[in-house]
Amino acid sequence: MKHPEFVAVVVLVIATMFVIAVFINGDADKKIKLTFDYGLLTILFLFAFLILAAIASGKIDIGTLLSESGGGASISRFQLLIFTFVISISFFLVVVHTDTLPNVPATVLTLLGISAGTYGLSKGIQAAGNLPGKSPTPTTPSTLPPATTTSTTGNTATPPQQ
Amino acid sequence: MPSLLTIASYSTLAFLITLFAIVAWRLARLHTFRALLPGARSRLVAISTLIVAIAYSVQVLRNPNSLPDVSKTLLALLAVSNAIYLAPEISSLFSRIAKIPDSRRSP
Repeated sequence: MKHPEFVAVVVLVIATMFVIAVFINGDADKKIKLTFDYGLLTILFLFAFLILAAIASGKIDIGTLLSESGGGASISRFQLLIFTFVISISFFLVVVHTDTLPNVPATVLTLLGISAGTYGLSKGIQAAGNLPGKSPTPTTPSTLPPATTTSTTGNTATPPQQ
Repeated sequence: MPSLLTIASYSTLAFLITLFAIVAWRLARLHTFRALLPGARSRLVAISTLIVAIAYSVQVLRNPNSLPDVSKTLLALLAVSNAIYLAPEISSLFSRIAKIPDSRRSP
C-alpha cells in the first residue's frame, strides 16, 4: 500500500459519519445534514494534520521557504511570512470570539501591501540582474578549438564545425 | 454539542498556530534564520518587523472582538526601514542601467 495514511483518513471519516448518524437525535433530514457536515469537517481536519505531520517530519521540504533564487536567505520573504501568520491568526482569533467574519481595516491592508511591495520590488531588482548590458557568465571565445570527447573504447571524437 | 462554526474556527486557529510553530522550528533547525541577518539593513528590517508583529498581536489579544487598526507610527517605522533596506539596491540598479550603452538598450 503506497499511502496508508489516506486509507486511515477515509476509515476515520466513515467511522465519524457512522457515529453521528446513529447517535444524534432528530429527524432524518437533520441527521443527514449533520453527518455530511461533520464528515467534511473531519476530513479537512485530518488532511490538515497530515500536512503538518509531513512538514514536521521533513517529507514536505520547506528549506527553501526563505531562500533567494541565487542562494542565501531573503529578509523580505521573512517579513511577508511573519505578517501573513500574524494577520491570519488574529483574524481567526476574532472569528472564534465573535462568530462572525470581521472587517479588515485599511491600515492592516496597508501593512500587508508594504510588505508584499517590498518583496515584489526586491524580486524585480533581482530579476534585473540579467540586464542586456550585463552578462552573468563569461562567453566562450569562438577562437577556441572545439572540445573533444573520448569514448570508452579509447577513440577520440571531435564535434563537427558549425 | 458545539456548533460547526465553533469547531471549525477553533480547528483553523489551532492549525494556523501549529503550522507557524512547525515552520519556525524547521527553519530554525535548517539554520535559515542565521543567514537572514548578514548586514545592518537586514537587522533593521528584522527588528522593525518583529516590533510591528508583537505590537499588533498584543493589541489583538487585549481586544479580540475586532481586528484593530495598525498605528500610523508603526506603519511609518515599517515603511522607513523597508525603504532603507531597498534604497542601495535600487541605487545600484539605476547605476547599472546608466552603464548600459544606448545602442544595447531596448526601445
